[in-house]
Order: sequence, then C-alpha cells, then structure tokens
Amino acid sequence: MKNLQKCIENIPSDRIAFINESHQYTYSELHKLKIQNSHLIEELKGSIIVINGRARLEFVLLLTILDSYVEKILFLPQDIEKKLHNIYYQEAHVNYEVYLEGSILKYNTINTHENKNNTEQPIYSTEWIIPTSGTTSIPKLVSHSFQSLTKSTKSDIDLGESFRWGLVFDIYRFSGIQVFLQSIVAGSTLIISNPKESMAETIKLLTKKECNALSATPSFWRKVLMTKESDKLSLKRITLGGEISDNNILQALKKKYPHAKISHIYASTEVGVGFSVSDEKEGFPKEYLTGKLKNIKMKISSDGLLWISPSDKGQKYLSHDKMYDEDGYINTGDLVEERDGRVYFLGRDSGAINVGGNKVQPEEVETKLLSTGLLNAAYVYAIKNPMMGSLVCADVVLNDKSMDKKEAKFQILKYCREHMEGFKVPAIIKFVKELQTTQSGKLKRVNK
Amino acid sequence: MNIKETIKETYLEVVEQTGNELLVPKLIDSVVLLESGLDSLGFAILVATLDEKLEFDPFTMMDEPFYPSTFGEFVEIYEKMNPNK
Repeated sequence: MKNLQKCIENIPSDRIAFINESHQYTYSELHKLKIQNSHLIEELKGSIIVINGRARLEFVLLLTILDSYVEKILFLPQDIEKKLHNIYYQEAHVNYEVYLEGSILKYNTINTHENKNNTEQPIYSTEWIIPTSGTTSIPKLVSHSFQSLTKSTKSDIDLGESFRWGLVFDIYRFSGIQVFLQSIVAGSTLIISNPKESMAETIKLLTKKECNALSATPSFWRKVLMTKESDKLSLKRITLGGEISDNNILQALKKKYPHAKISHIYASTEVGVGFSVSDEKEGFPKEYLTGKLKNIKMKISSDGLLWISPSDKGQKYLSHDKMYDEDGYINTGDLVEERDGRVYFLGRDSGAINVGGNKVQPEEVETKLLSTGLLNAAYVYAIKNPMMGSLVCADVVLNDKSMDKKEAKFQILKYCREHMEGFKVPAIIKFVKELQTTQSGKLKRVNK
Repeated sequence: MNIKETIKETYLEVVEQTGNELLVPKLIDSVVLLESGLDSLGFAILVATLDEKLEFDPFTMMDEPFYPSTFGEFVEIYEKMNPNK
C-alpha cells in the first residue's frame, strides 16, 4: 500500500523538505518531529481529525506526521465561512482539531473516538477530505485516497533532488495539495510563500530560496509577469492550472522563461488530475478524447459539457451526492468546443451571462480580450440591465499603463467586434490597476 | 457639460462602439430613436454607459415604466430624473 510515510522513508535525510521565510525542515527533522510527538500520535490513531485554517507550514507538518495514523483528515481553508464549520465537522464526523504549538502536537476534542489501541503498527490508508473551490456555490467536501491523489505524481527521488517547488496555491485546496505531493513524493524542496505578502515579496522569497519550479493559475502568472522581480526567477518547470490557459499567457511565459518546460494542467477536486498539455498551445488535442490518455476517459455531451471518467475512482462526495453517471463519468461543468482538431475551453456552465436571451461565457470574452495583446488581465462579468436582462462588463488591466484610455478602448472594441458576435462584445470597459484573486489564485468572480 | 450634451456625446460614442452608423443627419429632439441607428443592445449599452458617467439610471428609478420614442423624450427623462439637479 502506498502512503506518505512510506514515500518519504527512502528520501536522503539531509534534504530540505519545507522552507519558508524564517524556518526550514529537513526530511530527518520531519522524522524527529514524529518521534517527538509519538505519544500523542498514538492517542489520535484511527480517529478523524481536522486541520482548520492553520498556517501553511504548520499544515504541511501536521499532514506529514499524521498521515497513515489517522483514518481521515479534513482540510478546512481559512476562507471557508465560519457558519459552515459545524456542518462540515458533522459531515466528516470529526473527532479532533489538531495544531502545533512550536513543535508540540496539540488537539481539541470535538467528539472522542474509540482508540483501538493496537500495539502493532496499524497503518491506515488515510482519506484526505478536500473542499471544492466553490467559486460559484457552497464548497462540497470530496474524499480522496493517497492512491488517487498521486496517480500522476512523479516519484523519481534522484531527479527530485534538483527541484525546488514554490507553493503559491492554497495548500488546503486540491491545486496546493498537488504541488505539495509533487514536491514531497520525489524528495524535492517545497518553498512555502505567505499568502498575506504582496506579489513582489512573494517573488522575492521564491528567488531568494532558489525556486525553479512553480505551479499557479493564469491569473497569478499574469501578476507575476507584471513585477520587476519576475526577471530574477530562474524556472525550469512552469505549470498553469485552475483556470483556462490562453495562448497569450503561454506565449508571454515562454518569452520570459525560454528554458522552462511549460504545461497547463486540467484538474479538479472531483476528477483529480485529468491531464496535462505540454505543446504550449491553449486547449488540448482532439486525440485526448479518443483514448490517447492512460488514466482517464473523456466525452463531450450534446450540450457541450466535458465529462471525465478517471480510471481510479477513489474519490467521492462526503455527502453521498452522486458524482458519477451510469458509465462512471463525472460532469466537469466545463463547456468545451471542438475546432480544427483541438478542443477549447469556453468557461463554466454555471457562469454564463444572459444578454437578451443569448448566452455569453465570461471566459470566452476574457480570452478574446487578452488576445488583443494590449491587456495583462481581464475580468468579465454581468451587470443588470432593464432592457437586456444583463450586459457584458469587463474590468481590464493595460499592459502599457501610459496608453491613452480612449484609444485603448477603441482598439479593444474594434478587435472584439471583428472576432465576436455583437452581444458578446463588452458593453462597458473599465480600466483598473489590478484584478482581485481568491485564496486559490483564481480570478475572484462576484455576482453583481 | 450639461446632461443633453453628455447624452449626445455618449450616444455617438456608443454608435461607434457597436459598429453602427448614425442614420439621421443630426441628433435633434424629433429624431425617432429606433430609426436613428442604434438597436436594442445599443440602447442598453447607452443607458449603462450613461449610468457610469452620470451615476444614475432613470429607467430603474421610475415608478411606472415609460419608453421614450424620440431623442427629445429620452433626454427629458434624464433631465427630469436627475437626482443632482
């Protein structure tokens, strides 16, 4: 059975596992931390625990020492509304809240559990319970096994030595967990950024700690490219995920980091890692739909939605809501379109803007806006309108801040009119300094 | 600039923005809106853009719905409902 403890046993103990601005832990220190707290770990054995909103470094330490000893671990990010905590605690049957005080493991009891008290070493295949990003609705809890989470993780420890992964995603969410696992399973170093720091400070930390591999959302990458500090990053692996990666950002990254291997990843909390695309073009080859991929099968339904069937179906909703159709496929909620041998993402099914009866996908308009080459970032949303129901509105960030706004607006709208139907062209364009992103690094989408 | 001037200017901007053409020689009070060159989407954009500039939308403030048919009536609604006058 594969688990986190087994994975890290073989990693040379002097390698650094985690590092942030002020602390670092080698792999042997992780082992020491476990020994030091073995008495308490024994007490928690077989229970269901929650890590609730603790700092990122603390989270990875707790996860590393407790995996395989407890039955389930619930991850509760800081941005989850307080009123949902009890609901999630009940849904997951949480026994204890765990945290660290310095290097001492502590816990608060929610509901005691029956300690089976086996003297032999019972090793659990600990379930990791991860909330969905809930961009448009209340996050759902999805339970994963270590097996399902690591099915496409590279575990070459020799190769892993040369990688220093930057963690900028929220560690409590699927995307952050992927970066954590990629780093630890291959015995690499994880550089943990502080989510409260500015982009410039974050990049400074990554540069100082010699980050050479970074995974982030396209929105995050656009912000990275706007900082002067980004010149100093020396990257050999770049991955994008969590949002649609358009040609514009892929090319901009290629230009800035010509030696990096760039890929965009399709993943979701429900599906797990779907597939990655490394040809540096947006969308993915049509062949992916016809059995070219090993771990998953895909289909497009008649209403244009992408459905994915992972070969490993370890994941499920904790609420027992149905996740799969009769054939074992999960509805991703992502609208796609097949064109010239390639499949392109149009946006979320739930996010469409209704302009006088015509549906507009905000992401489609955002992609078009970015392809004008004038913009660093774009956010498209609906504004209510008495005549049309809704109108398309866009907040945009200019590449060249000194550009005349009137001229920029004229050129953007001209381009949009030439490349899109009239109802999709933004009715209002607002020039802003920067766009807000969520803790998961995705563009913050607000229903106005 | 008074409201009427702002509306005129914005009107012409939206005509251009939406790729339409002004179908009348001049924007005068008697111009029939639906024959002036803007379609319904264009009008929606005009009202939304004016909302941005003037910071009010008279059509959402009115107790009873009223649909102007001429440019003069359109301007009159804005002048009448102007909260800043």
